Amino acid sequence: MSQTITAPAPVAAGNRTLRWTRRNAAVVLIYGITAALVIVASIMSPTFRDVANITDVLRQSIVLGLVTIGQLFVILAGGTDMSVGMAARVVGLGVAVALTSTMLPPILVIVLGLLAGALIGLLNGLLVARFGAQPFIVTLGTMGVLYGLALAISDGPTGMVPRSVVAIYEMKIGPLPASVIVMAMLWLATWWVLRSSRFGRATYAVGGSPSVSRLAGLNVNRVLILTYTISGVCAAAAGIFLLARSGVGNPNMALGLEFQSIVAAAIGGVSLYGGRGSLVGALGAVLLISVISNLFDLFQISAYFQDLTLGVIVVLAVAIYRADKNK
Amino acid sequence: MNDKVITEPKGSTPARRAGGGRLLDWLSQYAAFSAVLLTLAVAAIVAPAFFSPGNIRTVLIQTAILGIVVLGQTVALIGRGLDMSVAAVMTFAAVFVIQSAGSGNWGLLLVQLVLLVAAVGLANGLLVTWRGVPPFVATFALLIVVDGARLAYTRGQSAGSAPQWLKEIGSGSLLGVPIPVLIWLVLLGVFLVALNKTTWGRWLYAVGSNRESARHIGVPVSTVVISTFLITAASAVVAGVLLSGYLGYVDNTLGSNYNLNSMAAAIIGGVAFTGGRGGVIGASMGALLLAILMNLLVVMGLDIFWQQIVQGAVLVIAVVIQGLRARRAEGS
Repeated sequence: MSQTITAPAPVAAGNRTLRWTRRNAAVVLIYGITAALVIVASIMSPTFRDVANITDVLRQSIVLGLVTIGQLFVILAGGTDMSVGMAARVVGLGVAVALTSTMLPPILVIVLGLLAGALIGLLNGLLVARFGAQPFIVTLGTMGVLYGLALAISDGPTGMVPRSVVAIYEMKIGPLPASVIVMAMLWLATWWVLRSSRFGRATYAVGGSPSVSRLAGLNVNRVLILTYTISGVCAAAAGIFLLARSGVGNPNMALGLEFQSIVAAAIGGVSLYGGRGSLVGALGAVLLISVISNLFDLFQISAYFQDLTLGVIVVLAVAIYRADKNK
Repeated sequence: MNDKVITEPKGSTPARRAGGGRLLDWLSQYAAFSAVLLTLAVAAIVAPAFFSPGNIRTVLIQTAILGIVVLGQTVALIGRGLDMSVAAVMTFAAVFVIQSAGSGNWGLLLVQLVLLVAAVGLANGLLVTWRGVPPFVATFALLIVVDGARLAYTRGQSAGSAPQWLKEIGSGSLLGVPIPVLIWLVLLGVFLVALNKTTWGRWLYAVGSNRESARHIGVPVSTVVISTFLITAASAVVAGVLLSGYLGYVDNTLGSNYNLNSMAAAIIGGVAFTGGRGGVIGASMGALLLAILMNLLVVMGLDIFWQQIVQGAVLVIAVVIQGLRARRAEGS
């Protein structure tokens, strides 16, 4: 049992050391690039190396970080969640409206928002696990439905967020934003779950081979459903955090998060076929993407070139990463 | 890594059919057709205006334009791929068209369109075959690149009118049939022959069913896979040009719904997302279904967000029917 979990793919003993090195080479590479970028940018731009800006980069990485953590569980278990961006948007807009038009205490509204995210994830998980639907395509479908729901809630800026919710974004503990500290603890907790908990190891096993996991007595469906539910909650949290940042429900919020989170996993060395990859690499990728988008703004690169540049980086990253694997 | 994907296709064994699940079998084969009939019956009750000659014509033209994208998407799905970049390619093609309306340089337009197909198709195909990137990631990345390239190229202002000759093609008729519909039917015939009567068609089904066996029997797997992405890009270009002619104008959101809809149409039309199964007739039925549904929502005067919800729901239902059917066939 424990053998099938720790070695999901049939790998020759000598080969395993080699793979370990390679997998870490991807992680080393991503941190190397991030560090190089930070050093060069710090030399070139006094604004960038300002402490306030560095804190801001970290705080900006939270939205993508939250979604990527959820996406990581789903991808490691062999799936994909395309609905995260729209789930974040629906929850963000819904919470904005509920905060404005109901008398409910903000904390309750936020909890309900997270529950709504869990429900969305649960639905995705059921569709994949119980009905055998192909993850990418079926979550693309739920993404469409959620997009419609978001439009139904509002197609213009909506809701005024109370100070207590904006504080989620602005509150500081010492020099650091509280949100950054909480996020760091969340990364640590996820790292522990993936590395040491039964569920974490089961996630890797299911992604490595569902049929072997089933034979080994794992409840594959339960693991799958749980990964999508986690992803839904993470997306909801990202939506709420975005709302706290902007102070108003923005109908264009959370655009492209599904792609960015998948890309973060991919360039962080996580196999998009499931079963292999580490959280450390994905964290590095999230930081790299956050630094890049901060630099875009600092150097005032036109928004029209930002998409193109990011797209080209992604294509190169994905291509190089696989080339590394194929050797 | 590829081996794992090939040896565990999760119910893509086309030959085996379990005794049970007749309803599912029937559903997945005729789902689109029965849903078309059902929707038409509903339309007759709730929105008789749907059947006005002008509206029928609109629906047919919309079916044709979606149908052309679906032809390409079907080929990609049969080869166990899919193409998320079609929407971006459609819009970029339309941008080239409106620019040519200003310059009148049709030769340049043709070169631009051919280069667009070659660049996007080859990039997708090479990422998938040579680098082993999953098709959805490769084509999604290209979606970002092509959309980004268009925004950079037009500085965000992808707006303008189609040239007069194209407007006439987009909304004109020949022998009483709208020209886009004629083009679609001709292409449908071409795809039908290509898939069923040519070596390439047999290769494609082999590649989609089982890449490893296909390789063993001498099929040039990579070439076939690359060809599917060139075909999706080409069909997207044709559809984008026709759509700009039909609408008469171009904006930033021209092709945006076609990724989801082309996949939904093909899958509800019985094209297996696990590759190797399905055909263009069923997929075209799917295109007809979606065009009717979208139009019906408009005729009924429902808010635009219903279109998004219905599109998403159709895709979810289509995938669920197929997933259940594949499970039955697997006997698990």
